[in-house]
Order: sequence, then C-alpha cells, then structure tokens
Amino acid sequence: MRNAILPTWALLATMLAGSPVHAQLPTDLGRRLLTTHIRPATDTLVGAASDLAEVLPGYCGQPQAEGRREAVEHGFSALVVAWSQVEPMRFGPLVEDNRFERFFFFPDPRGVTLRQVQALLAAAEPQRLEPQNLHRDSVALQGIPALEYALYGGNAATQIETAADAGRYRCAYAVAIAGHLHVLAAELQAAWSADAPLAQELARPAARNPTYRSTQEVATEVLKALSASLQYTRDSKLLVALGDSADGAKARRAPLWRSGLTTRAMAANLAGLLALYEASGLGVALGPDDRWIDDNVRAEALTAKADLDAVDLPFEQAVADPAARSRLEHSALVMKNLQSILVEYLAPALAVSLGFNALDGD
Amino acid sequence: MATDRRRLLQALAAAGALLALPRVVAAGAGAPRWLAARRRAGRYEAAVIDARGRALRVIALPDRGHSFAIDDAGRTAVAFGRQPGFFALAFALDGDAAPMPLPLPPDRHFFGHGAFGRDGHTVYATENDYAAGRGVIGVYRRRADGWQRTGEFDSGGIGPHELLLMPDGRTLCVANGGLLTHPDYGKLALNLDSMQPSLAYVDTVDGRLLERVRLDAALHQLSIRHLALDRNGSVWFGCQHSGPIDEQPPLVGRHRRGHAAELFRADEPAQHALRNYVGSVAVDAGGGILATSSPVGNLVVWWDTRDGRCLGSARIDDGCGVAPDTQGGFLLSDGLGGLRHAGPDLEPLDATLIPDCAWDSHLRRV
Repeated sequence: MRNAILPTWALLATMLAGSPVHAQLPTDLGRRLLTTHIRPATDTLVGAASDLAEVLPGYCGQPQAEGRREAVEHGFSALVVAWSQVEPMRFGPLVEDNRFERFFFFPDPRGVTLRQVQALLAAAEPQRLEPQNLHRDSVALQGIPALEYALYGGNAATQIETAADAGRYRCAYAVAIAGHLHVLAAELQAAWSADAPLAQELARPAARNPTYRSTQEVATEVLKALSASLQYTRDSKLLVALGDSADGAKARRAPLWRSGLTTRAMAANLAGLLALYEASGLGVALGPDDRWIDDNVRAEALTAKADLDAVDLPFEQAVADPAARSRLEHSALVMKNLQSILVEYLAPALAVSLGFNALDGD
Repeated sequence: MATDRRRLLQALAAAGALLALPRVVAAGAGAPRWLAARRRAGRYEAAVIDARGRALRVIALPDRGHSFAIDDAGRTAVAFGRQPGFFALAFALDGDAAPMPLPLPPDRHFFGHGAFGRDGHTVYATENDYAAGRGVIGVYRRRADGWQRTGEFDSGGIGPHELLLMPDGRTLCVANGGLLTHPDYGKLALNLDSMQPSLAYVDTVDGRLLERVRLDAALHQLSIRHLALDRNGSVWFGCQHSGPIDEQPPLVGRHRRGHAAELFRADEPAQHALRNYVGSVAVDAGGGILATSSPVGNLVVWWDTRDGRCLGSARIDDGCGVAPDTQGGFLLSDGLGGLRHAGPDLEPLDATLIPDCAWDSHLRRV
C-alpha cells in the first residue's frame, strides 16, 4: 500500500479538533535552510556549470577524440540534475534579474527558444556569443533548454563533428552558454553567502528588516515555494506532455526530451523540494497529533520520485507505453496529493496562511 | 489512494451541504445588495447577497468565478470565470430566469473581468488571444435570442485584467497586466523578463487606442491589474509585483487622462505587509476613500483619493473583496467566509461568517 492516501482517522481528527494548537516554528529556520540546503545545492550547481564549461572547449576542438562527447553529455546531465534541485527555490536571488528565466526559460508554448536559437545559429555572428552580449540578449537564448538544443537538437553531434563553420559556431555557442550559466550560478552563490544582505535577513528575521521580518514570513516563503514548485513540475512539465491519453500525448512539450533527461530532471525536482522541506525543520516542529503530516509529506515525495525513477524509456516512448505511462500518471497524482497536504494540512498546523484568495492570486 | 480521499472529502462536503442548503431570502424593497463569486460546500456560485451575507439569488457556476459586469440599471450582471476562464453567464439580478452564456470563441479565454456599455445591452470583456499572445477586448451584444459576440478590440497590451467604462460612457480604461499566459499552463507567467504593463484607454466606437500609460522602465514587473474611479473621474489602480520580494515598489496609483501616472506607497509597516500584492480596489460611495486589499498580506489599506495619503489599514485574513457600503465605508469579504463592515473611521466589526464558504476575489455593490 502506498502512502498516497491521508489516513482517515487523521482527517477526522483534524476536522473534529476544537481550537487548533499550532506548532512552534523553529527559530533557526532560515539558518538551517541556508546551511543544510540552499548553500550546498547552490555550490553543486556552480560546480556542475564550471565542470561543463571546462570540458566543452576540448570537445569543440576535437569532437571526435575518444571520450570527449561522453564527457560533455555527462557534464550536461550533471548540470541538469544540479539545476533541478535548485529550481524549487524560486525566491530571493533566483528571481532577481530574471535568473530563473535565464537558467531555464520554460514553459515555452510558442516555441520562442527553438525559433531564436535557430536564428542565432543561422546568423552565426561571433560577437553575439560575447558574455555581455549574450546576457543582454533574449533570456531564451541563455539557458539550459538553449544549451540542450545546441548539443542535442537535430543533427547537433554530427554537425559539430564535421567541424565545418556551422558546427564550430554551434559548439562555440554551447561554450558561451555554459560559461554564462557558471557566472549566473556564482552570482546566486554570492547572493546566498553569509555576508549577503538577504541571507542575513533569512537567517535572522527581525522587525526592522526590509524583507524577512519574522520566522513566520520565512516559513511562508518555504511553503509557497514548495507548493508552487510541485505545481510547476506536475502541471507544466508532466501533465501537459502526458495529455489525456497515450494518443493525445505531446511528449515534445516536456522539457529536456532531446537529451533524454525529462524524467531525471523531474525526479531531481522532487529530491530538491524534499531536501528543502527537510532542511527547514518544519516537519520536526509539528506536535505529536500532527506528526502524520510530516510522515506523509516525506512518503509522498519519495513515492512520486520513485515513479519517475522507475521510467527508463525515452520520454517520447514512455508517454505511450502502458506501464511507463501509468507510472507517470501515478506520480502526477501523488504530487497533487502532496501539494494538498502541504496547503491544507501542513500550513494550518504551522499557522501559516495560504488562503483561498492568497494562494491562487489573480 | 488520492481518489479515495477525494471521494471521502466529497462525501463529507455533501453531508455538510445537506445540513446547510443556501437559504434564499426575499430582499426588502430597496435594501442594499452586493454580488460576489464564492465556493460554497464544494460548489462554485455567484451570489446576490444582503449586508449580512444572506443570499437573495444564487447562480451555479461551472467553475471558479471571479468578477462581474453590471449594467447601470442594476438589472443584469455577467459572471466571468476566473483566469483562464472559459465561461461568462449573464443573469437577471432579480427573479429566477435561467442565465444566458456569452459565446466565447474557441481560441480565446476570459481574464475574469468585464463592463457593460451605457446602453445596457453591450458587454466588454478582457480576453486572451493566447496563440498570438495578444490581449483583446471581446464585444458582446444582447439580442432577442441570446448573447452574440459582435467583434473585438486590441487591448493595447498583453494580459488585460480589469477594465472599466469611463464617465464619458464611451472610453474603456484597461489594466494590461503585462503577463503573458497560456491556458495549458494556467496562470504561470511566461514573460517575466520582458513584461510591459500599461493602462490603456480604448474608444468603444472604433476600438482605437486613445492613450497608453506606462510606468517607469524600472517598474516593468509591476503588473497593473485592478481599477476604480474616484469622484473626480480619476482612475485608481492596484498592482502586483512580479519581481523579487526584496524589491517593494508602490502598489497603488492614480491616473488622469493626459497626465503621467502617480504612484503611492503605504506607510510602514503596511507597505511591507501588503507582500507586493493588491487583489482588489474600490472607492467608497462618496468617492473620497479608496480601499485596496491584499489577501497575501491579510491586510486592507485605506487611502485618501484627494492626495493619495495612506489613511491606515485593517487586518483581514485572506481578505480580498472590497465594495462600497451604503452608509460610507466598505463591505469586505474574505476567503474564510467572513463578511464585515470597515473603513478608515470604523474598526472592522465582527464578521458575519457564512459556513463552508470562501468568498472569491471581488465584491460588487449592485
């Protein structure tokens, strides 16, 4: 029996309880977040971007040399996994200067990335790959989806291997993106470092702070990020691609199908949001009557992740394969339930308000 | 599994519904009435209510509602689906005639707001031409046999949200929030990097863009979304900031045709407490006081429409609906089923709580 269902006794207990007793929020909530999760995950992202930026020029120089392509593919998938663990923390410096969109411009229902990347490759103007110019250009040209197209789109590997002008430019574009992502990741790292103002506020919320004035505000930030991230992974990445049926599936609407990393990236999203949740200590703060919430949050996150981990077919085949499809659908169902537990049970137990109007703003 | 839980919840909701069916009361002649969308006992509705929240008329909605167009005579209203909305239902505020749908084309969705023309037979609705990523104003006319869509105007921007008819009875003022969305992705913003919100004035005679007002370039992520008119015919607008939370721009502004927009900041700690979010705006019956609500910050802030001075605030959990009260001040509704009178000179009174009810974003006086 999976843990996809809330125990009935717990539901009834919650409904029948009189005035609820709220858990005491951990006073070191923000400090824990920074030291146990935000900084380590950001460091990993910086490392992955740096590694890829390092191996790419070697590949571009001698694309057919033994192991070069493999090193790039390994580096790209490490970058995708590292990013996917950072992705749920969509607040603070990740939102500033459009860093999120620069890293991962998605969803893109009108195909802006493909159109702009193809135009850039066709024009082949070297000055556009200069770091400042790339930064000033469209965000769709700067991120992981654009990098994926440069390395995996169409006949990318063949084109790069022929080492003609077009292949060389394409590879140089990949080098430019990887280098720029390394810079962005380092900015993120600096913005969460111990002496950065927002990190100090997060670690020590106080009434005189401009941004984080109470532990409750920090807890609200975390819960909103968890809920929004689940919705993003489930609704925007998974459900749109799954469609209503195997026949109606649109696998290419999912991110990262070209590199075959779609499910790995979503699984890393779940690992990232579980790590964020655990680092917060919010579950541990719950009183004995509410401990079932903590158990369920962990179990649901692991179940949804296990479903994705179990799918090893390329995503385009997985959406049409009955067994794989059923795993994906189950994962989506569990993510929905996990979001309900966070919003309807965890938030009230912590006296954090995520209201009918507040949560679904308009 | 999850479906079992859903069934259980539905069963509980149904049991609750049996205990508390909406009691429809008869309106006293001339008694003040309001209109709001809500979720009640698991169902979405539009409700005409009195000051104590008693339902005078309830319209079942196929999905979550948002706001309304209301004709000048106070006879007909149109309920719009919440963004991305796929229904709009016109209904008589009195009586029990069946509601009539406004026919939405397949490649459009509603943003949740609309306004009647002076003739009482034309409705303008903010809509998304999502394939093109373009904001439009759908024009609907009432015919003998129902509503017809007779055309559309360009809204002058992306993501038009609220719109209102100016006192000249001819010009529409449109809050183009600037956020590009696609119904496949709900409300997810697809253009945070490049958004350009604006206030646009559009001529209802020919759809001409008469004036477009933009904020300072540094405020390009400040989405202009909700509108109200004061006694001088100035447009007041409420904004939602899509940028990082350590930026805390002013969220309330005023515009007069031919002038630059003015922005106003609330006094601390209210400005911070708004959490970069204004969900609804309304001007009181005298036209001198503006109320702006933030369900995210659990706060309603009062403003003097003469000079944009902040007059204080009231804490309302998940409070969003604000509408003028008859005796001055405002009626406020919240997502917890509460309804209360409040204003700058009136501390919020104890709420009338409607059981198992969540009032949605907007409350309108009818």
